[in-house]
Amino acid sequence: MAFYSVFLVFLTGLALCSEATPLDSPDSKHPLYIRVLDSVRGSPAPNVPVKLYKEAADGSWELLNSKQTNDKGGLPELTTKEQFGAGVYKLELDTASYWKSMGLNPFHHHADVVFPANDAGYRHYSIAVVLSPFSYSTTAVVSEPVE
Amino acid sequence: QADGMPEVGNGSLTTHVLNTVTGLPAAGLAIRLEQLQEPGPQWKELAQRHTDTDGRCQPLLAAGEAKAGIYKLYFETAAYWQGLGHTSFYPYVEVVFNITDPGQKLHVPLLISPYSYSTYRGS
Repeated sequence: MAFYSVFLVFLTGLALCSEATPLDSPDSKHPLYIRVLDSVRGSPAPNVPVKLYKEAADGSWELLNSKQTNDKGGLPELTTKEQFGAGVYKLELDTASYWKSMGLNPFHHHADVVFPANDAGYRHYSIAVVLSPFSYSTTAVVSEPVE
Repeated sequence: QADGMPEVGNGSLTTHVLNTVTGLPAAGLAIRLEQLQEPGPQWKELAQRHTDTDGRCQPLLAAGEAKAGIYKLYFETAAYWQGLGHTSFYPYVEVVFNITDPGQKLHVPLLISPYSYSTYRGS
């Protein structure tokens, strides 16, 4: 599948870049890293609004942060180690706004990714999302518990 | 309705779930369809299905049932992977999409692996 080739290239790039450019991957201070890619243009997807929620005890979603991807389609500072305790999180990407700003009418209302975090100690999370107007893909790279 | 497998083509919303680890359909996976009660935030459950051995199920919306609006397909992926003895990352997968033309046949497949998924609008 073409998506998996893109992911492999992206993840290799992440691994290679992580030494040189710390803000291209998660680190201990910012353990959740998002990268959004545009598979129509073969480019990063900049200025995509992303919300991070945490599931509360009553099952409702509590909004923790709301930011946009940078020029490289990256969002390194969505949360901090202190804020990112064990729990279930939801990332909600406003992909529709991204496509509409280019004059396209996309299929999905938004793309969301629900995942558990830090159940066995602090880990680093990289979430990649690859977009097109009628499709999206997401992959997670999760480290072993650190420190 | 004829005996045996009904024509999937008659429905206006269908899905198909594929396990990309094995390259085989994902059987026995629970799915539900919800519609946003505009302007939200409540969702109303419209249908529940389980995939068959082909990774497919009865149409979630029959021809003529769809109305324009915002819909959510909810896939119980964690339970599926657990049943196969795999760990997986996501507790479930939700796909939220627009129906703008109620007369259109929509096919919304999902490809899954333990740490990744992909979805698209097909035909």
